[in-house]
Amino acid sequence: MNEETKPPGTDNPTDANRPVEINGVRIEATFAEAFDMKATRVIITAMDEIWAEHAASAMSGFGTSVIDCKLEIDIERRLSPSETPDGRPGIALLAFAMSGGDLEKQITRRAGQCVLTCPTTALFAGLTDDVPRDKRIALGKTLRFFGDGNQISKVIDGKRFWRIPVMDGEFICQHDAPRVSGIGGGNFLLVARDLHAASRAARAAIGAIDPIPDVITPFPGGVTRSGSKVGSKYKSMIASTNDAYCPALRGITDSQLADGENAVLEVVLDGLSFDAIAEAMRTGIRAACSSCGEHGLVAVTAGNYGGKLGRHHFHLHEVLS
Amino acid sequence: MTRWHLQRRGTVGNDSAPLSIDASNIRRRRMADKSAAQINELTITADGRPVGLGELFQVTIDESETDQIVVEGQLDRVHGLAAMHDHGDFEIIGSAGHYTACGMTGGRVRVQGDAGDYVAAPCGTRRSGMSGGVIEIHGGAGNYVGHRMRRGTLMIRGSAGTMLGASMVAGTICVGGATGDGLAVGMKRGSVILADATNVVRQADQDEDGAKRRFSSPIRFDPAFFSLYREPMFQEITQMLRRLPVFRTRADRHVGGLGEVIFAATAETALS
Repeated sequence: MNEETKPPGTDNPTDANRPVEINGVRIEATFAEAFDMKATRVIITAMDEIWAEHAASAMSGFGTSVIDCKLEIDIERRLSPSETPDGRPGIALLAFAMSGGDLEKQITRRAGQCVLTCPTTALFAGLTDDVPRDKRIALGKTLRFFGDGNQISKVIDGKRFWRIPVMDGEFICQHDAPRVSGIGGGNFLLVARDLHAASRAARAAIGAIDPIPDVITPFPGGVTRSGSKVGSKYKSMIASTNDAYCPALRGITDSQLADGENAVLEVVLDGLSFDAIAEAMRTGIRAACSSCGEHGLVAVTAGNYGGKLGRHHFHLHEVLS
Repeated sequence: MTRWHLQRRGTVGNDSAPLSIDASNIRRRRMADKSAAQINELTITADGRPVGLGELFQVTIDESETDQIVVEGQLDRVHGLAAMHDHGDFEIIGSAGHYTACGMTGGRVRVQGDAGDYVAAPCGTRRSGMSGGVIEIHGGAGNYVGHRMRRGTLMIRGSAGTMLGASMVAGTICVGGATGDGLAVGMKRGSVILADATNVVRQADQDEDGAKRRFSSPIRFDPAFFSLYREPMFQEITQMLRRLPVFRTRADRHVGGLGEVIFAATAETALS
């Protein structure tokens, strides 16, 4: 699919540029520009929710941005015992990387250091896509060697699992997980009168996005203050501060902020599909506007690179229509 | 997809009925794309003589959602049913003879009654037994069940005879009833799960020196991997193991094997 993915109707400049407000919050006539990524879902289960949470937190740590983490990973949702492969409480995580190689390297390392090490846990693939062997990410396929020859393989319902002896019994791990295409870099920016209002709006947005499946917001609390632009005056930097939205740089750079717009926070979304990200953006923006529209949230806008870098464009007016 | 229904022709009061039928030629792959007339001409062996399948079975072919072979009737002298079965369901309504599902590679075999010796063992002169798929036996099974088994899951609701899991290489055998002598002789890898280990423990105690050579000391074990099996029969057989302290021993240590025999400690095993 080479053509740009965008909702119908966005070619009409009259539609795209008409003023839109939600609860007094200005919705800018712009779009979020997102990229193709490689994605997978893994499921961590444990004896109880607490151990599962520890393993999931460790595995998703330092997984905010591919710029330097090489992986964007976060908890997608908590799973009840009836939803997991081994009937124990679990957590589903979604992970995104710029290439299949990066994804495999990061997932395997994190599985080995964060899940294998965590008491009582087990690790399973969370996607059922039937993909070729070269599009699968090694889990137990690599981790089994920790068993030093004492590992045991079981093929159950056509899936291979590894039982690796560890000090609390056995670590059960699925052989591999499917790798699929995903989209990274969906975003919207919450422009507020002050930092308190921006923070409240961001929390409302993330709270509303949380239950939506197939989407994660990988930054701390789902939000980042350090939105970036491509490039820098320093050659070694591939990204640098988004000066157009830094309130402290008004009057020095080409700012996009008007008077009274003193704090901006960005919600970044990765998802398994265009529709999932669009749904999350719609839900998040509406929640932010309805909770903070009369309490300091001034505008909602989005980050893009002029449409030249990513082929998935989320036009705010269309997403919210 | 196709459903082949093979009804054993009348055997009641028929003195000339064959004493032994080798039905290992009844295979999905060999019947696919064949008409009923062609299937009737497939050669099987009865008392050492080649005969047409149609002489011994009445064949009906229907459309089905999955490939399915159903064999019905008096089958206790019909050997090699589901041999080399590779895909779809193979349903045996009645008690099967020896070598049921020998050399099976995939799909599912269900025996509604008992099965004879050498279930899931190698087919013919092949080296390995069952290497994939699932076998459900609703009754009991004979000797040498799972001989040289390499992969797959075999569940027996009833008892199993002697030499269960002998020379097993991998896979899982789950038995709900008692087992005979020679359990796991020559076992290299794989899992044998026993709901009733009374006989095994009694025999091991009676032949302590032999047992020491073949089995490692039983240790407490948490069979967490049981929960990955969604098979109702597996759940039914292992129900007791979920409620009682479970032990595991490794076998056959006499040949350096690392197979596992998993069983529950019951009052009977403790007292035996």
